[in-house]
Amino acid sequence: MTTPLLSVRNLAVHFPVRSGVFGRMTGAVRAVDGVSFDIFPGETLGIVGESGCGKTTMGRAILRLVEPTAGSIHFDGVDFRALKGKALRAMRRHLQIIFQDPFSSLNPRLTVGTTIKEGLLVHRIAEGAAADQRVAQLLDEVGLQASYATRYPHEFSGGQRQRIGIARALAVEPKLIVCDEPVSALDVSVQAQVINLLQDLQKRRGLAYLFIAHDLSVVEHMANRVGVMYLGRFMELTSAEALYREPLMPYTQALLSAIPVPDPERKRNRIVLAGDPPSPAHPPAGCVFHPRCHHPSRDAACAAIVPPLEEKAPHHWCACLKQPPTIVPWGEQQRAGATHEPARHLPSAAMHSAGSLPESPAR
Amino acid sequence: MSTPDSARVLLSVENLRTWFHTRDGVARAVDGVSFDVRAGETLCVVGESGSGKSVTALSLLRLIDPPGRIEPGSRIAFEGRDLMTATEEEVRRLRGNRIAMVFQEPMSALNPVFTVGDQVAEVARIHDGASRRAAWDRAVEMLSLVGIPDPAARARQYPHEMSGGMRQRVLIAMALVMNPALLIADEPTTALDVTIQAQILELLTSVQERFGTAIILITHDLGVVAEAADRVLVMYGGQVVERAAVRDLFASPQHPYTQGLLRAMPRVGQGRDRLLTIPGTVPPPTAWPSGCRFRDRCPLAFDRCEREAPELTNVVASHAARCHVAGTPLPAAAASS
Amino acid sequence: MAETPASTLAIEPTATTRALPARVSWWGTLASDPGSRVALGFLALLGLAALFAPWLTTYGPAQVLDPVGLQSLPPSASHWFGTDPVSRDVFSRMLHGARVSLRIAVLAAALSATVGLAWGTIAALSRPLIDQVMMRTVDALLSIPRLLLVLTIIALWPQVTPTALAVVLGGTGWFGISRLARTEALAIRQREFTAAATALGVSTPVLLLRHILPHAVGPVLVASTIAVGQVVVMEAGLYFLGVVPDVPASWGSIIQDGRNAPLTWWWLTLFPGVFLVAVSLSVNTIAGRLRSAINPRQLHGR
Repeated sequence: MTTPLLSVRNLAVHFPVRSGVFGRMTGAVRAVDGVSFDIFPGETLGIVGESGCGKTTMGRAILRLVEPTAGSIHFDGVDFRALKGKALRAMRRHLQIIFQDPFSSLNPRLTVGTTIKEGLLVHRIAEGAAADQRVAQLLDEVGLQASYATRYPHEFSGGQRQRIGIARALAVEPKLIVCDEPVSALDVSVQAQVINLLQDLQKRRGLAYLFIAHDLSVVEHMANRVGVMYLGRFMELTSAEALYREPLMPYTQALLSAIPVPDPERKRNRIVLAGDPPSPAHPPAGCVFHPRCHHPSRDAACAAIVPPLEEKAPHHWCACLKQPPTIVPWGEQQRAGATHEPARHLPSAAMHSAGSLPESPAR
Repeated sequence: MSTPDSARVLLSVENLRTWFHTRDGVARAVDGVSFDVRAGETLCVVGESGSGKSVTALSLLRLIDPPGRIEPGSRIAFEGRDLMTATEEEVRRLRGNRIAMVFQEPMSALNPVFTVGDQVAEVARIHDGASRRAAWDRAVEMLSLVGIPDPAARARQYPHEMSGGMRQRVLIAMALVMNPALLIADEPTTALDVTIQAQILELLTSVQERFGTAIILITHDLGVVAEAADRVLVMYGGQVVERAAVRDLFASPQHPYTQGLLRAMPRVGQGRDRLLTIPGTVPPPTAWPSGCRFRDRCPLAFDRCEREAPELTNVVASHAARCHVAGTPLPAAAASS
Repeated sequence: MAETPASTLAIEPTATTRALPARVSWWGTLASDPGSRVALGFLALLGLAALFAPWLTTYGPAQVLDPVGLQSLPPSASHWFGTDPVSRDVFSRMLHGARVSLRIAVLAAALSATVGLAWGTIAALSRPLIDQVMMRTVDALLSIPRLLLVLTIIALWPQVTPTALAVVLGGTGWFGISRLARTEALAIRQREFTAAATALGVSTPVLLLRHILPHAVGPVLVASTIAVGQVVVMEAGLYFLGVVPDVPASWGSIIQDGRNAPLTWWWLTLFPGVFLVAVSLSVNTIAGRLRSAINPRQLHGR
């Protein structure tokens, strides 16, 4: 493959927990805890995980909207974390973001035109009449009328606002857009419109997306590769196809089995996870998923050894001691109290093969 | 899950119309909805924002505040009793007792200053006149029943000390205290993560199997419908546009709106194909289009759809759609996807 | 998407309930409320009367008419509010005094609002350490009774002109406002449009001026409006106590002139007193109305 557009290594964001009169730091919420990945030009990396897994914080840390605690971010070969002031602001035009909440993502006091124009003016891309013309083009590109430029956000529906947010991001001609749950607040019919728009824009402009969502079917639809996050870490990272065909991480398997499928004929044995995700302020020792894990080989070693994110199959990375192969020697696992040797576990409940799906409805 | 057609009708709704008389005009949020719920079955009401599904649910318990009003001529009969002519006191005694409700946002449905045990116990005290001690024991028993681990200790916790999934379980426990004949669940899993959603759906199913509770499940998610429903109402524009057994609905959707929704859903295993969309958005309830309310978004609309509002008619036995072309052979372009 | 009963009501009801109010019509808010109309009318009338005081009054504010014949007279047709112990016309002194009082009040409130807004929003956007230092400073200042603070500054101030008094009162009135401004700014900082602006490369000063201040100004203005009423009362109190050099006329000094025999010379206490209460009440009525219109989460009035 070509060189990556974005290269993230060991990214961490820890929020201090303060207490006492002087606000002394007494602990840390490890929202993002050592995440590494690349995004290549024109590709979509999907990030899935449940609320509190750190996916949103990670998206913002990459744009330095939240300052990372540790790790490196290289964009187009430039050390993004080293940039300051003017250089940082100049670089920002290449990385943009689209938000989940179409009601809080637009400044209610600015017209749609002013909002879209802001980036054009900041980066001197266009000024005066040329800027207005550019705004009209952008509105057209996202499927809105050019005349909407003079209106205020409250006059629009959720889907339309989402399009305005996309136009604002496109104005500065970015190479990468972080899409933070861009369709999860929208109705099904509108959601499909926005998904299609994002795909069209990607094709036309060669954009790369970091697509964050909790809805696995949406992510599968958008992404080339998918990273599964749990408690601030990547549990699995592979191509969308491999992930849905052969999910290795028990957590991914549970997530996939939990998706309700719009087919009443298909009754699956669901893997129902016990309990709730632990707090990122007090992550479990060893594998962070082990207290809820259903892998038959789960044992004391899982509670003691932090499993490395390792390549279990070509381009298929997974952090699990019990899915072979693993670079953690069996001897070491035994010293940690292991009683079950790693054994491949792939429950049918997690399988969503294309063949078993119904054809699109037709009579 | 499946119920014989001859099963006892528990709730019968006829021509329900709930209108909101606002400054911007009359919003006909629910406009002529009729359906039955049979004992022990799960009826899913599915639709998008503004379809009227939640207002329908609230209307069943007469929980509509001005400027909203259930219009005269609407009929709601529960266990043979006419709820429209019942006094406020009679309806109040039904709520939380024979008919219970579970809401979408468990945090706002719970009182933050009381322990969850107190709140569950209160239901027993109100409706059963149970003693403080007996009500508390009943609360702990209910929390255990909905799968809350260590219920005796958890009962002493406050809502903010619990996760979203646990709070939803508490709400379900509150709803089940009086062993209601009908449970109305309004988007009970929408605010929850997918793995927690699976837990809650599982819980609802097991409750139904154990107590024979009928459930009206309101949702926007067709996946949830397929998992949970026996029968389905699809709502659009304040009306039922399609009514069918769950298998029939997914196997052969009759209304163009239902067909559109099914095609617009991304599905796992489908790859990155382009999604088919329904153009436009739901019109405001103050200005439904004349004739068929779906016509300006419908790929099949023709002149009759503008002139004449279609009735909800049976296409095949017990599968009804509100569409002029339903049941007639479709043009190939519209049928294929 | 989540459907609530409300979402079926109007065209875009979610926009009005979930977004910041696009624009509050201040005028419309006040005009629709009878109490606010009366208050607004009274203040406007008083303001005009103060502005045109030299033309509306027959005598100068400090003009001694007849120390023997016109001393301490009760209200009459020729002296509406009576005269004081040195035979000055109280009505003339009231109107001229209003010039001083209102000028000080408006100046002080404007100063409090500006400093408070700047301090609070800058603290909100600063690094946690600077934010902490700035807000702990405010806490420390708030813990000192304001009157004590004012008296200390006045004692150290070489020449307390009305303008200087306005500066002192304004300079001691912004602490609570800065807290409010910080809270507002933090809430707006949470809104994703500010993150979008940062991601676009907007600099911090522009972010502050364009995206944050316009939303924080409303609540701060309301809080400052309440301060106007407080300042009028406080400034009258300072003149009453005589801790600041007297000006030609002020409401406080009129009350002081009658302090030896408040029951006999009741008009010297009654008229300034009633006006003080009326101004304070009017300002609070208007502020309360505006506050409920924009509904900020909290207000600190001290």
